[in-house]
Amino acid sequence: MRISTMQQFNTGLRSILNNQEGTLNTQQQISTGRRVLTPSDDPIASTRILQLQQDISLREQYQSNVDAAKNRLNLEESILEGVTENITRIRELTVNAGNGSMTLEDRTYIAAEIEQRLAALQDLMNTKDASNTYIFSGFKGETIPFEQRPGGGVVYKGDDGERSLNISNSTTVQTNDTGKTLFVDITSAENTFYTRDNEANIGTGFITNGFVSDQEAYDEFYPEDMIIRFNPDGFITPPGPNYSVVSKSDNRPINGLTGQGYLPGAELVINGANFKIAGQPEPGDSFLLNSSKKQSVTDTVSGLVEGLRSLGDNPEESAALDSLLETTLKNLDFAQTSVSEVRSEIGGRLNTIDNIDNLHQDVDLVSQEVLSNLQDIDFAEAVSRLSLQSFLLEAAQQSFTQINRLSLFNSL
Amino acid sequence: MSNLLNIGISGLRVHQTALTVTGHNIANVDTEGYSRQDVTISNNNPQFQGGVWVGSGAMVQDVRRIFDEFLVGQLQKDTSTFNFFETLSTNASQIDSLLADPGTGVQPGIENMFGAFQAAIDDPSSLPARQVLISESQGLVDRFHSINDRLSDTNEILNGQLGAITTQITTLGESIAELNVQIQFATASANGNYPNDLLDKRDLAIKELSELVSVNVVTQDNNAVNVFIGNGQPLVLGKDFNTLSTQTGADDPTRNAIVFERDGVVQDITREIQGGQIGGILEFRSSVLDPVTNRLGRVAIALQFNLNEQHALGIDINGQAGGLFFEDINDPIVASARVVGNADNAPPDDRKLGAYITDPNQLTDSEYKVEFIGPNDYTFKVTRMSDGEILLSNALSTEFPESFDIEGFDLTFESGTYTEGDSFYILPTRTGADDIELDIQLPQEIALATAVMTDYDVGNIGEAVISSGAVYDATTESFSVPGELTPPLIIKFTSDTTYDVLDNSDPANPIPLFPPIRNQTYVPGVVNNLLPKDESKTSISSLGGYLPPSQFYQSNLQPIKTPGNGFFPARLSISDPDSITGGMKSRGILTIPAESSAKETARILSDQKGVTATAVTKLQLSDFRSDPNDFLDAHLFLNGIELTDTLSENQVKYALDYPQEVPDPINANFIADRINANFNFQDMGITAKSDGSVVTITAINGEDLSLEMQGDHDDYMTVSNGTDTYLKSTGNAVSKPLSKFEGYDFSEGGPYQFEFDVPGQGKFSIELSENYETSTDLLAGIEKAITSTPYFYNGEIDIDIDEKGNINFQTKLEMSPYATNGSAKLTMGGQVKVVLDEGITISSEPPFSNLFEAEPEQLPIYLGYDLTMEGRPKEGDQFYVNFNEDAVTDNRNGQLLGNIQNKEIIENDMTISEAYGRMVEEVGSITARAQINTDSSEVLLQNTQDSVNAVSGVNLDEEAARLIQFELGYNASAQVISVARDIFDTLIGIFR
Repeated sequence: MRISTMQQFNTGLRSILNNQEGTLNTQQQISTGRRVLTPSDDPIASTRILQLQQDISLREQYQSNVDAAKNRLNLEESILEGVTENITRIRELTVNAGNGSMTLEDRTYIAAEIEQRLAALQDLMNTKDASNTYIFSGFKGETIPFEQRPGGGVVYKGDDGERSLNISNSTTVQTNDTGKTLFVDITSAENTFYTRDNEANIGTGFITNGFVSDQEAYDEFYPEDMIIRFNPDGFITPPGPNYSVVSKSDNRPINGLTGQGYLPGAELVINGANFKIAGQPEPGDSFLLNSSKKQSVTDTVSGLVEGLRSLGDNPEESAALDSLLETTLKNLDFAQTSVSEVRSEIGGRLNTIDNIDNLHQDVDLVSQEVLSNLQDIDFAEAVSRLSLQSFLLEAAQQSFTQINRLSLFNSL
Repeated sequence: MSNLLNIGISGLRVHQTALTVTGHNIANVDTEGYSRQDVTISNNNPQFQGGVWVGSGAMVQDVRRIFDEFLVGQLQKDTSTFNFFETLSTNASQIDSLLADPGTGVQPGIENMFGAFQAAIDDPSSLPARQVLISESQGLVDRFHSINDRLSDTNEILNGQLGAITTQITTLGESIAELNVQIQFATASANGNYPNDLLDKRDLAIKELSELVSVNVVTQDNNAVNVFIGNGQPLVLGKDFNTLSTQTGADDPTRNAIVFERDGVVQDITREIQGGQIGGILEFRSSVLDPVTNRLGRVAIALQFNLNEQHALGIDINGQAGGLFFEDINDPIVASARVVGNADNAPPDDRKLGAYITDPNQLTDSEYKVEFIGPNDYTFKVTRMSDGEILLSNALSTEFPESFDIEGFDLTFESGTYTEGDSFYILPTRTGADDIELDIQLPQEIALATAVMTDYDVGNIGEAVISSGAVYDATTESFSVPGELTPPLIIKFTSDTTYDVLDNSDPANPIPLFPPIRNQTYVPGVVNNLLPKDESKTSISSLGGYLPPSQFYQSNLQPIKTPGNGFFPARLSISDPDSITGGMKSRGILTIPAESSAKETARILSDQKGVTATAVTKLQLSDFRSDPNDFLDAHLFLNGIELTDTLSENQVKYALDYPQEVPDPINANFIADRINANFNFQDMGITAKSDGSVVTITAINGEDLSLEMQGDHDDYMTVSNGTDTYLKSTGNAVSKPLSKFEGYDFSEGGPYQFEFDVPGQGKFSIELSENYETSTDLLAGIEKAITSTPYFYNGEIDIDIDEKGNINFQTKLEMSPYATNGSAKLTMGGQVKVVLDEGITISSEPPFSNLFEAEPEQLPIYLGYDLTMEGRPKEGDQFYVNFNEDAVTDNRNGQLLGNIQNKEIIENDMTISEAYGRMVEEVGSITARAQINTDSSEVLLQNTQDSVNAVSGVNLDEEAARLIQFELGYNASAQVISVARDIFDTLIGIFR
């Protein structure tokens, strides 16, 4: 075949350029450590690389959620441990108080310690976390969950909010428990009730926590709910603040209590329920007294303190004391159960988290390895390829000069 | 001898020429497009001399260029192909590395933003975490913008390149035409000998042209060539050439079009032109740049749409409804920018159109074209550009705005004059990545919480767990007041398996919702949805029990008769949406006979498809009085059953709680207790409730309630249908709440205006301005004001002021018997509540019926949120649903927002990341394919080039050899002349 001079030059030059390109590409791969530099280098591998990177980054997110959830639950667990200790101590003191040789004075001392324990308990129940939000108030993180109520006792101000975090594609873990589940929604040995002001009230009146002072009378009334509704002043003569007590189910007055004159702070005993209403209620305001078979741990303990302080040593009162202690012990046991149930739940959640955590780490290891196989370079292979390519480049350059030096004109 | 001399001279001449040609070859060894030339030497014709033919030397017959026409054509084709792929691959690899670069790609931005979401979800009350989320979201927006900017810059560059290339093509065309002229002239003047160098030049020009565009070359008989591009557009015809240039695209103004101009006629040949650099650019634009821009836009739109939608369902840290997270995707300006009118549309340019995204899942990466195809000015079709499929052929009606659902977006004609021939280009996703902007500014405004919250009553005995609630539509009535749930609900279990949902605005007195949700069935053991589902159902109710002008007097001389409930007949018209006309289509008239019970009316309505009706009858009795001159005992009958039967001592009837004694006068508690304990009434579904002074009797199936009262002339009670009408203050507020126990002075302050709304009659207003000293004056004054309005009613108006000072009234009718002469009778009808399926409407004729309003307002029954419950509730258990107040640590909506990362929101099978990844992958494949094609076409091109070179290229060694050869020939010819001279000298010497 005939070869033109230009062709001869071009062919030589082209092979040098091709070799240069190959060398450069290999050099780039070696210096970045990556086999796939742009998706076009290996479209199929690069899709998988992108997917794996997404997986890994998603798992990193889950991993940080895992850590956050662990921290929260560990904090809650340690608080609940404190709560358990306090309740145990209160229970011991309660048992001590039942000792027949104790006098009212002795019991007063015990009451003082129990009160301190109660304060400690309330502190624990109002614990805040690292981000300065209350851990037991559900979604209302900036609302103090257990607030002192005017007229005594504490009231739960949080809500039923259960926060959760995703720790894997399909697993969500609850990271808090509400004060309501832990400390309020506790089975009571006896029927009881809880009170609340109607949210629609406009006056400043409030109802106290109240307690059952005559269990038999209240048991008879149970489970009816009571509404104390304030009437316009003119409802009675002479006009003045007054209220009616009606049952919630049918709106009929209870015990004919309509148009009762209102005396702020007076003790009211209706069907065995003992409570007070104070402040300035407006006509139309109402207060609710809902029957319940639950009693909060604080109410149990406050009732105990009150009883220890007030019940004397005469036979009648000591019988009342015995029954109070008995109920209290039962209720404390229920409270203890409520807390330990949640604690075991927390343990279960922590287990789940650990399992998921391990799974994440295992999967992550595999993903990283696959990713590395896909995108990272095999150095041994690359380096030997580079030396081959440099050798070829050199050969091309040398042959180019040699061949082109030959010309018939040299001999003319 | 002169012969020999001539032969010598011819040899000299021939070799001189040959040496010149060789020299020319050597000189052009590096000239591009040069074909080596060769001298054709032939011997001269012999002369007949002395009986023999003697040769007479040589001559140059021809100087020809050595070339292969087929190879030259092949070279042009290969050049075009190579340039096509090279341009495509160069441009594509730029996009390829742009998208995959972690510094610029969208993927890391998506990961960062959702990572920040998780941090905020973990700690919703933390403002720093929320701030990071805002920054990361802005970061993602910036990434979308920067990639989009690069893409639109690329487009600008391409527009510029297209302009330059078309100019170059025109210039080359011009020079080819010029060369055609020269070649024709030169050939003619050289008796058909070709001007080799001019031919080379022309071939070179054509080859340069094929670098730019694929050409078709046809050689004419007269040695001129015609050059065609596209599908036969003549760029060069002999000595003439035409112009190629660019102009703004008629459909899409951002994409320049290639236009071909011939004899003043301009033709858009963008779609026809192929090959070469220009083909590469066009291919890059249509297969990489546009799809990538559209898909990137679609990713942005899907993200924006879904995040905004979910964000709007939540509430922020201050309890305010979640606003926009990103800017509104269907902002009118953005929506109208998605539709571009063709530059050639007929004036006036007053057309307003918009493309409103409705479902990103259905969006494609294509563009669409709307064409008014005639034969009139309102018929149009919509074509999907990616595959040319016609998606819609329809006609505009006369009313604007008019919307048509295309693929994931609504094409809305808002106004303007449309003419046959008009066309519009829809680019639903093109600007998506450019339009995305963050709207949210303050970290507090991120709506991580959900608006509703449930609360179980601590007194509950059952073991049921209620969900915390999920909001699906924040535009319903439930969320119409910021920071409140209207109304808050109470879910009350009336048995272990049934529950009522009531309005808990006043926890001391929950009232039924409208439309009511009562007696719902609960199934233990499965997850129950407690509230109505979102099926776009609406509800209306009839006007309710009709209070007649007077009681019915049953004379003891007349046959016994039960009066009717007083309802008028009604003709109802139920209409369905008509999918063909888009209007409503009536099902015809449905007649309700006069005095039908509510139960019967409900049955008639429920027989209709898509309609469910329930009925309930309510009746209130109060103000019981006994004739002071007691002569006859009062006797009361309900639906023919006596309520006032006297029991003998120790007699037990029905149940132990059936009251033994009949009080005088009879009272509300007594009636309620007797009804509730009566098995017959229990079977009939009739119950009663008393608050001590008023007894409310309810028939839950909507049967009429018929009363009969016997007794003395002055035995007495009042009856009402239980409807309270409340007055709303529209004037100045009163200084202290009104009370029914004291007077009020309306002469000061004021004006005191009140308004009340009576279904079927409308609104009435009154004004109070007098001083009422006592409560009696006050009530009388209000009554007078009400009765002086045109409000029509039967019976007496009974004014009441509730504990909170709200004025309300009932219409009541007195019932009293006529001693031994007869009894008082009255029948009360019930209220029908009708639930209509999506789209169905109902109207009533004639107007002023006392059964239904003529055009009743249809209220949606969906509350906008769902609640679920599982477990085993017990009778009496209560659950509350409230606005989620102070919920700073609620992260429910945040989780739903965060889940968008893993939701398949593009084409129903790709997450945002997957869609982006797939786009990157496809660009990668296109680039890889283009690179492979570039490489292989380069090899082909080189092979062809080599073949051409092998034939036409100059080989210096060859030329050196020729030099020696021709030099020898030249020297020899000179020797011939020398010999001739010697011969001549010798001959002369003879004579000397």
